[in-house]
Amino acid sequence: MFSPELKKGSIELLTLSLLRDQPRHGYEIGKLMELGSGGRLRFNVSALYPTLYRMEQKQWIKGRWVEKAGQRRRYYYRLMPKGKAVLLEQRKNWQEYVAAINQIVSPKHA
Amino acid sequence: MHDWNQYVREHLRLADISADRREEIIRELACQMEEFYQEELAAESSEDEALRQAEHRIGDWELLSVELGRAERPTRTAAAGRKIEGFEEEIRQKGKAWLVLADLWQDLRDGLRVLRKNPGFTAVAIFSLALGIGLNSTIFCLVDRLLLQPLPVDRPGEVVLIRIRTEKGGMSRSLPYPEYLELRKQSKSLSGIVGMQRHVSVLTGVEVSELLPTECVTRNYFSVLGVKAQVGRVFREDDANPGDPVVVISDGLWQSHFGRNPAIVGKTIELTKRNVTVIGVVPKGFEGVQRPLTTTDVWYPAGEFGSILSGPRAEDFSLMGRLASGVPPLGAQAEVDTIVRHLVRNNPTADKILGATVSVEAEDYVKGFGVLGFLVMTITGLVLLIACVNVSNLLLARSQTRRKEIAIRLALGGSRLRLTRQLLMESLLLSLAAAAFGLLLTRWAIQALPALLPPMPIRVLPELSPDIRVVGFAIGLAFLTTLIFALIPAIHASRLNLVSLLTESPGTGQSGSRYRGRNALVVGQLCICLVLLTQSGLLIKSLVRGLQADVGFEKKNMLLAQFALGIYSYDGNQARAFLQTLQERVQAFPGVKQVSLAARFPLSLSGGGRAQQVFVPGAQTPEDIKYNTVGQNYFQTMGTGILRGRDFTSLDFGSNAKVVLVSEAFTRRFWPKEDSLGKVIYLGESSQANVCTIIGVVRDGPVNKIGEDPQPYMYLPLVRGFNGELTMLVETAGDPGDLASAFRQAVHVIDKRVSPFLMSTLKETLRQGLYDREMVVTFLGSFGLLGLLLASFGLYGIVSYTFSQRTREIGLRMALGAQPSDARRMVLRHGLHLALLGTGIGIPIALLVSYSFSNALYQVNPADPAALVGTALLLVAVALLASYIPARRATKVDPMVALRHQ
Repeated sequence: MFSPELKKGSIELLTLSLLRDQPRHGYEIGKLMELGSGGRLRFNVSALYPTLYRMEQKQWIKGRWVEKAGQRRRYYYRLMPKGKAVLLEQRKNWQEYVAAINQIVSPKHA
Repeated sequence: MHDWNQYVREHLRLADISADRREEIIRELACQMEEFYQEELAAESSEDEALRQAEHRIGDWELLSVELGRAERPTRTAAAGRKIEGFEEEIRQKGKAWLVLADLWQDLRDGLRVLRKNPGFTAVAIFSLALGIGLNSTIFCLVDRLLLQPLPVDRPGEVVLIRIRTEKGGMSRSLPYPEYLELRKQSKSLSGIVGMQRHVSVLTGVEVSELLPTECVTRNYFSVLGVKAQVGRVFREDDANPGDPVVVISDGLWQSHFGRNPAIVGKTIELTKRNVTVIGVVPKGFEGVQRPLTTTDVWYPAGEFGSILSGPRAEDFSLMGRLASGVPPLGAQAEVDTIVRHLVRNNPTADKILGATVSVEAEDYVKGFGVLGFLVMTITGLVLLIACVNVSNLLLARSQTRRKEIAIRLALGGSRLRLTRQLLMESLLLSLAAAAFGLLLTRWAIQALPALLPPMPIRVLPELSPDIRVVGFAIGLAFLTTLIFALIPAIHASRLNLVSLLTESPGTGQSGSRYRGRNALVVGQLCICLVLLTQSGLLIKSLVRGLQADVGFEKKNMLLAQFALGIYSYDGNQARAFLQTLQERVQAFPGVKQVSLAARFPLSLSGGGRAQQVFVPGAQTPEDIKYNTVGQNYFQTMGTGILRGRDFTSLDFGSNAKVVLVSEAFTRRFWPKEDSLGKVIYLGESSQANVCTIIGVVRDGPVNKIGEDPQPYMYLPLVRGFNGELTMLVETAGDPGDLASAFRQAVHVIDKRVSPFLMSTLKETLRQGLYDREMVVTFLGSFGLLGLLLASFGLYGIVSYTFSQRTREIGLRMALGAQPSDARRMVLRHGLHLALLGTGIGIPIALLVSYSFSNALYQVNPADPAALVGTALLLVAVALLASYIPARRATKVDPMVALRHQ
């Protein structure tokens, strides 16, 4: 299990990534994070929903109520252009960050 | 389908967010919970298990609320930002003061909102405080009127008391009238000196005659004091016809009996069967200047007019003066002292006058009675303290309930100072509301006060009304009580730590120190109650002892009828004949055992009666000894024991009567080692004309008040004074009250003009002798019971709250096998523990107080075990009763519900 600090820094990136392909609702986003990480990334409601609302205020994502046939009403989020730009920026930063860390922590071969 | 919307609405705490946005968030979270629920059902959990899991997976609602609040803040801030820009400009223009006022206004609105949301707490707090503030305001009204307010005269700071110092150490004796006139003429340091005598007159010529407090005053009384009439005029020294029977009346009398009709001026009224003319009414609020009992309704001038009941007694004028311009009190003191010494050198009195003391009335009075006033206000202050402690406890308990709300407010950016101020504002609103209700209570209490006090034949309380000073006092008290009961809870609440709060486990109870603090407050309340109630118990016992006390005569069924035949122009012989006829006729009534006469009845209102200068051979100087003149069969009628010697016979009632009976104290004073029987004394100067032989010694008895030390006393045969005041004593077999109307009828048959101006039974008269004690018991007992009522609320509150916070613990115990009766015992034990602590600490304090005031107790041990133990048991019983409801609630705790209790 990863520390809360580590998880806290990545939740925005993970959320934006999961919304890149299609709109999703909150439960789905949380579930996908858990399943996609093999159960290692589990965010509780008090972490996920505030993040969604903050990103919505910053206009990175936008939500609306959708009632599909045969299903109950759900609040779906979709990625906005601003969010797309942020996603690209954050992904690039993340990759550079991980590379820099690996540079130091990986065992050195003689 | 489960109503998740409602579930989320109940658990989510989002402040400062629009209703629409809140509903949106609720709906979304409800969806989330439904998803969790469906997921669990899909995993083949039972419905109950799925519900439970769905609830569990949301996690901590408090934390969620905080995080969502933070997340929503940018939205509010953006919208508020535009508003703030406008505000900033406005503030720059209006300044800081406006900002502070705006904050206070917001605090006020928030405070009202919070109090409205908690009606139960608000009602209990206001009720407790209103009782305390109302009681204190009532007593302040009394103390202020009697002690603190300056005299309602012109320039009260210039008014001085003149007291005469005598050899025997007395300070209140007045100057003989001729010497007073001379002092007035000679003094330059006082621009005026007035004399006053208190009397009682009777308003007759009406359906029910009424006793009126009356003052005989010198003609310059109103002009020296600077009191002008509101209608008509007051009497003056230069009145054209000084012999006319004129009076000035009070505003109260004008209102109650004459409907404030301006035609009162020049109206003739009948006062003690004598026609007098009302020439004016004094202003409202003026009822005389002889504090504390300034209750005069009628003033008449001394001098040629003479008195209504009896002539101005030469030595009985109380003196007051007004300092001349620029003269300090010490200067007046020196001059008046010198003049008085010079005057009495040539006219020595029995109790040798040594000089005079002049003191500013306001300072002197407050010094003398300040202690009493302070004591009374301290006692009522204790009851208010009990009320404050109750509310403080309630606030502390409530701050625990509100701790997460407060922590969230702090987390959302509120400053501790602002929060403390908001909490204080809530408390101040409570206090001000309590002050308003308290003033209503004061108004009612003042109106009800005469009915609550023991009955007296004459008005003893001045006119009271809650004026602006009392209102100011109540408001001041509201602020003070806020500081007392709210400051600590407010500071304590603002120090709450968010993180530890949100992570603490619910239902396990708070830290021990918080409980200890509240328990200590309740123990303090119980202590105060014990002290108040013990003192009441001791005083009640003292009162009962007083009523049972040996009064020197038997407490028979007796009717007492007072006459003043002089006002019907009866001379001595006519009066004698009248009374003899009346006595014979009354003696013949069925049920009448004996009838006798006396100038005064012991323990009546006439201040011990007259004093006679007596010269006892062998003594250095003559002494003034109080005496009574009595008719035949007096001692037999009264049941007063004649210890040695004999009673008066019919021969002793001749005009040359030269015999006297004396009290045991008289014998002890002048012949400590001998019997006084047969001894000779002189009534006045030692000349043969004044010789008198002691023929009997009578048992000692109180003269003025029950419980006073025996004093030398004499009984002379009733040969003189038939045109003065007289009391007829009628011993009856049955209830003496039944005889009253037949008695009046018998009087009217002999002379229809005449009627007794006062009739009462012996029982009523004895009770009047204990009036002051009964008044103290009434007050102290009421305060004590009120305090107990408030303390029992406090105890109920703390026990109830303590165990509601320990519900989980109780549930756990019961789940582990404890019985409901064990839970009940636990709660009752807690209440009992507090009560025992309270009584244990309170008893030594109560003993200290009783010993300090042991002088006020009559034949009662200050450490009387019955009073102490009785009060302690009462307190314990009340504590158990107060703990009973929480104890019953504890037995009904369902272990499973308790374990889930938050």
